[in-house]
Amino acid sequence: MALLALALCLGLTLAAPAGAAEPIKVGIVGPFTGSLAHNASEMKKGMMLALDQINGQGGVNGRPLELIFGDTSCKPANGVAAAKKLLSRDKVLVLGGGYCSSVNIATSEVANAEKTPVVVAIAISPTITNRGLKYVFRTSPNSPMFLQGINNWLAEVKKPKTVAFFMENSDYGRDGQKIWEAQCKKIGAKVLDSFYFEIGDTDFTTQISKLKQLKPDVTFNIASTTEAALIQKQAKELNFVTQWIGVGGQFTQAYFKMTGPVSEFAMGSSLEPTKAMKDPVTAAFVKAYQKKYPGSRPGIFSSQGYDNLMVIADALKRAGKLSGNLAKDRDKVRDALKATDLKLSQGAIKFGPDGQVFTVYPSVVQVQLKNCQPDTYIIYPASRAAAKYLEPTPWSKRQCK
Amino acid sequence: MLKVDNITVAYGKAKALHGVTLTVEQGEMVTLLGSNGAGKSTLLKTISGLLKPRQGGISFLGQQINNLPPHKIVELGVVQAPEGREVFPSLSVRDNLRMGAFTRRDEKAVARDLQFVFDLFPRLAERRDQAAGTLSGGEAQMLAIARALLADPKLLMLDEPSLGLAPLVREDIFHVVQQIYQERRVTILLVEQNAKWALGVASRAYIMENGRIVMEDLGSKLAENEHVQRAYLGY
Amino acid sequence: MESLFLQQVVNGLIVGSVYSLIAVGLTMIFGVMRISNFAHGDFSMVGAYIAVFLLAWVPGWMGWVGSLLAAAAGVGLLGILVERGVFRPLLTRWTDLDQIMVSIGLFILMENLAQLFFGATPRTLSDPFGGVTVNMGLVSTSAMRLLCFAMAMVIIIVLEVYLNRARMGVAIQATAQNRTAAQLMGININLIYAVTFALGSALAGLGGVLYGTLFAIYPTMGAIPTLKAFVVTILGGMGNIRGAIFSGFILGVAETLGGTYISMEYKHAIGFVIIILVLLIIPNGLFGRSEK
Ligand SMILES: Nc1ncnc2c1ncn2[C@@H]1O[C@H](COP(=O)(O)OP(=O)(O)OP(=O)(O)O)[C@@H](O)[C@H]1O
Ligand SMILES: [Mg+2]
Repeated sequence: MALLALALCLGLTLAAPAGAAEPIKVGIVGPFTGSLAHNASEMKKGMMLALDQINGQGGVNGRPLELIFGDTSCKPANGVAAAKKLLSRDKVLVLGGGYCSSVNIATSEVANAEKTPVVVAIAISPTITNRGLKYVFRTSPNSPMFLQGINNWLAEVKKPKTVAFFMENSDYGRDGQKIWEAQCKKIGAKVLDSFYFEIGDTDFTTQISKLKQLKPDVTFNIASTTEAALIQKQAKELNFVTQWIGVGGQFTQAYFKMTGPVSEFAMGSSLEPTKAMKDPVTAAFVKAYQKKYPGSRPGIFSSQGYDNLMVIADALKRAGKLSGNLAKDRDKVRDALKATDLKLSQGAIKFGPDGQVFTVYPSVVQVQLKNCQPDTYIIYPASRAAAKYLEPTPWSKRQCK
Repeated sequence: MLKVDNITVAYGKAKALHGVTLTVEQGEMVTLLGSNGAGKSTLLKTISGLLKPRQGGISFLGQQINNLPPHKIVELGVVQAPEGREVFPSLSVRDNLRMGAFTRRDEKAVARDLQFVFDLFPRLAERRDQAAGTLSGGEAQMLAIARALLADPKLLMLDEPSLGLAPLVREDIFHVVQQIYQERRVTILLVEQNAKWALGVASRAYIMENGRIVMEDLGSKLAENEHVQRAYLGY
Repeated sequence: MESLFLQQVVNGLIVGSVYSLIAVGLTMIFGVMRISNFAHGDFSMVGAYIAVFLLAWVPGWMGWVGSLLAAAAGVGLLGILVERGVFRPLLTRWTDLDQIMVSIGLFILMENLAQLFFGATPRTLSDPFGGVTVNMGLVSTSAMRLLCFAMAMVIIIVLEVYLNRARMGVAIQATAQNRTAAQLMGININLIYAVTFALGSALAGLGGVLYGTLFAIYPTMGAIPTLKAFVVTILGGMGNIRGAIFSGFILGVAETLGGTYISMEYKHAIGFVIIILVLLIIPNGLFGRSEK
């Protein structure tokens, strides 16, 4: 692994031999070393699958794709250096990859200055696409969009009359609250009250007792694994029933071990491709991935890496025969990217005028029990749903222990 | 019975005793006089094992005790009622006495001694369930003496039992000390401010100044000594 | 009809009972040895993990009751080792600051070892009642919470009786009140230190099992009990055992009522506000500091 990373740093290239035609060079940046190396390697595995499929079908307009990797180590300075090298020395046509918002804010600026299209795969800061940069695109939802699925579900399915907030006292909790509050206003749901807790708190009985008096239809609860699990347990102990809605990151193995069936009916959102097997495109991706990497399960990063390269390849294809003039060709690719309209493993991909994908949003998941074992199932949108939404029932009616 | 042999004791770097030698024979009442800061309490603390001598040795009934921990020395029968009473303020009078008997296992004998001290100090009997911290100075001194008696001492060391007491109460204490000496036949080493009384009741006396024993004689002899009269008897 | 006020009082009394239990151990150790043990809550953490492993092996009631016994014994033993190995040598030779630094070091060490051996994943203890809830009209709670409360009360009462009746218990109090006089009564204070540290640690361990039953178990879980125990100890008067018992309940109820009627955001601050007020008005704590 370390050796591989080293090879990547040295700029060794992974090219597919497709006849004698000269390959089209695509630069890929990512934190291939450092603490995020594992996640970056997931992204890369998704990209390598996409590369196999593209070159296996004859490449792009008869020419194979060639990926040139640049390591950012999740540090903006390293990212800028890697991007500059790819753009001026390797003369790549387009820059893909990503991960780490702070790095991508910098690298996208560099690429834009060089009039080179850049398609960011993973990074959620809204800044990346809201600076009016003409060559910047992003195939990942930004942070407000992570809550978009829930917002749509609230408006179309749940239509709550009253809601309450019980949030982690952090930027994460408070930013999430702002987005949901705006949506509640739009759909006419009344916000009864807002409570906060500190990261590391263990006793939530005071707040839950107050919530119980308010009886909200929906209680938004942004919390990480431990706190979220304790809140579920204590809600049961205090005999409080509500529709809990969180972001989704809390639904880990540890969470289900701690809560057991108590977490039934809790909701959040998820981009896990393996949850969305009802979608044929996603299912095909998962199958192809498991064939190429036996025994492993594609996660969100693999899916985002795959889609990223697929979007780039599609734009290259639509850009048509290249002139050989780098500046002109880069402009052609950018224009092609703007017209992207694909269905990929994350869902539909179309870019807004700002270059931000606006058609990808996480699916809404609910914890449901099978044989008293809790797991998350997609309940919305209908095209991906693996189960139907279930209204929380009173504790006395629940069978599993 | 007790042999203190040429001991030197220091608090950190400051020496408090410089080669002190003192003996107490079985059945004696010996008094130790000296002005404030002479080193009397230091000597008693060293005998009790709270301080360790830098040089010299201490033996009790022929056994070397200067390297024993304090509780072992109490078990051998060397017990003191410390200066300033040092009762356990939040414990009841009865529990204070119970702590006095901490090393003893013979419940019957303890009960007998408890009766003895309650007879000796009827006021303690009346206040047996009261917290020791609420006692008057005289009562607390009685408790300190009674508590030491419950350890069934062979050698009882009293450090200024009359300190800070009103004259009438002081008389009571003097009386009780003599009564204990006579009825219990216990050997006593008495440190006392009131030299006149102490020299009167003690068979022998030591005078300590600046950490040294400067005189040693029969009580009655020392009472006639001119230096002692001027320094301690206020003549 | 449900009463928010009563519900919050009940919530407060339940956590308060566990605060008391853990704080009593801390205040005992302080009272006797003048040690402020910042690793006290980590002894609770060890107790909680003993319960995790025992319950994995023997589930249900037997396991839960066994966990309490094993935690008391195991953490008590750990206390003896730590007292002998770490604190006793410091008692005479080192300054208060050294002692505090060492106990903070111990707390960091214990957290890291726990992380290493047990992993960071939080765990919960399975409830032998199977999650039965108790709805008493005005208030609701779970059978397990009530049992934790009852257990804490029983342990506190047994401790009170021991300290006031047993020869060794009274000697512990005597040593706390006057170390020198205790030595002069023939009390082996090294033995008292060992017993006190073992007992205080065992209480932390028992409190840890109850805390872990109510909440969750993870390597850094000791921080909150330590913090609360210090608040309770200062409130009750450093070294004052009964003070700690009452202050634990006072803190528990003050936090829930403060959180309900003042502001949830200040819930953790409430303990400190009370401390500051009490120390300004009654410097020795609500119930007076232990002597000497
Ligand atoms: N804990 C201590 N640390 C340092 N020096 C001390 C300590 N205790 C006593 N001393 C010093 O040792 C000397 C002897 O003190 P000690 O208490 O033995 O005198 P004393 O004869 O009992 O006096 P008094 O009649 O006032 O009780 C004094 O100079 C005193 O200041
Ligand atoms: Mg003195």
